[in-house]
Amino acid sequence: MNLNELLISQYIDDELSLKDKARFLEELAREPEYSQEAIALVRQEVLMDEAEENLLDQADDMTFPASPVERSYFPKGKIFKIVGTVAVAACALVAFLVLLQSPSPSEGVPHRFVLYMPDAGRVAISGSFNGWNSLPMEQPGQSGYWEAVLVLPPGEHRFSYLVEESKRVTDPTILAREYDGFGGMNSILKVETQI
Amino acid sequence: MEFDTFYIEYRGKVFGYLLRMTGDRDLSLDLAQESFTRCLERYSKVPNPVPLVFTIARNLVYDNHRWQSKWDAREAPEQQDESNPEKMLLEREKGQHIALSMQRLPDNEREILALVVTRTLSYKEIAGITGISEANVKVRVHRARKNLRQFLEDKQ
Repeated sequence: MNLNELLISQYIDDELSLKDKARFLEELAREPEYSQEAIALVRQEVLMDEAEENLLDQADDMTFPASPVERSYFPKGKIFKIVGTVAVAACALVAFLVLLQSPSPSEGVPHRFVLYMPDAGRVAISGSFNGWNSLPMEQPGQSGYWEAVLVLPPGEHRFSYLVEESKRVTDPTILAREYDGFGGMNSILKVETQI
Repeated sequence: MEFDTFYIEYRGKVFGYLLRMTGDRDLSLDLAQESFTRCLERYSKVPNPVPLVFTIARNLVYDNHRWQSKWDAREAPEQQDESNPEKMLLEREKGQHIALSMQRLPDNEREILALVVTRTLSYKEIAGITGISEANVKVRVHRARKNLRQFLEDKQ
């Protein structure tokens, strides 16, 4: 394979310097076979682009989750990650308390998430509303119910509960769900504008 | 760029790359999701995450390759597996001819062409992702195109 041949692909891929462009044009003008090869490969590339469009049509918004899921497990022995996660959770809690006491409710609507999980030692919630970060839920008393109250902006939110830091479960009270791309499901919550 | 914007803009590109590499739609969707999830975990430290997400995707393909012994079975894509509904679906879709011909390319040519066709990465970035020189990328991508042309003409 000579260097002039490579110019065809470099042309297709926008990788030609100005001097290479001159060489490429000269070669096209001089060699009819070279020119035909270049045209054939460009046409082939057009076909590939069309195939790419078809691929993307297959993989539309319904196929992909709305956003990638950020795992929130705690790797063993990585204390800094745990401390970081706790710090994030604490910040989220402070932010939540500030929002809860805010005199202006127009920015969001408080929503109470409740999950009955009497055997669980830890339950958290994560969703599109908090960047899929894990926010610990509280268990008032020994009722078996876990709860969290979050102020959510109007719109559609995806979320799931995280039990024992590893098992994701959907909200049994919300029928709207979708696959999360990892073999699990997310619940879909619609928050209406508060009048 | 916010990660959500990055995800929406590039998820199809990464999926397309993975599908060209594996020929398996469901596997490609899973690997694409895993690629973005891993990328998200490291995103804050990387100014341009595009090569990173493709590097992660490539590593996942090869991890999967090593994990699944079925990988070598795709060496003969012309023999259509009637028992595989995923392949039959591809048969009916526009572009399947190219997809099958892509599978006939040697691994090192198919992966370079699959990356180039995303129209997202420069030769330099592809060299970084695949661990070969830029000059080698140049040669392989052109050789891949020529071989692909031959395979496409074989079936016409």
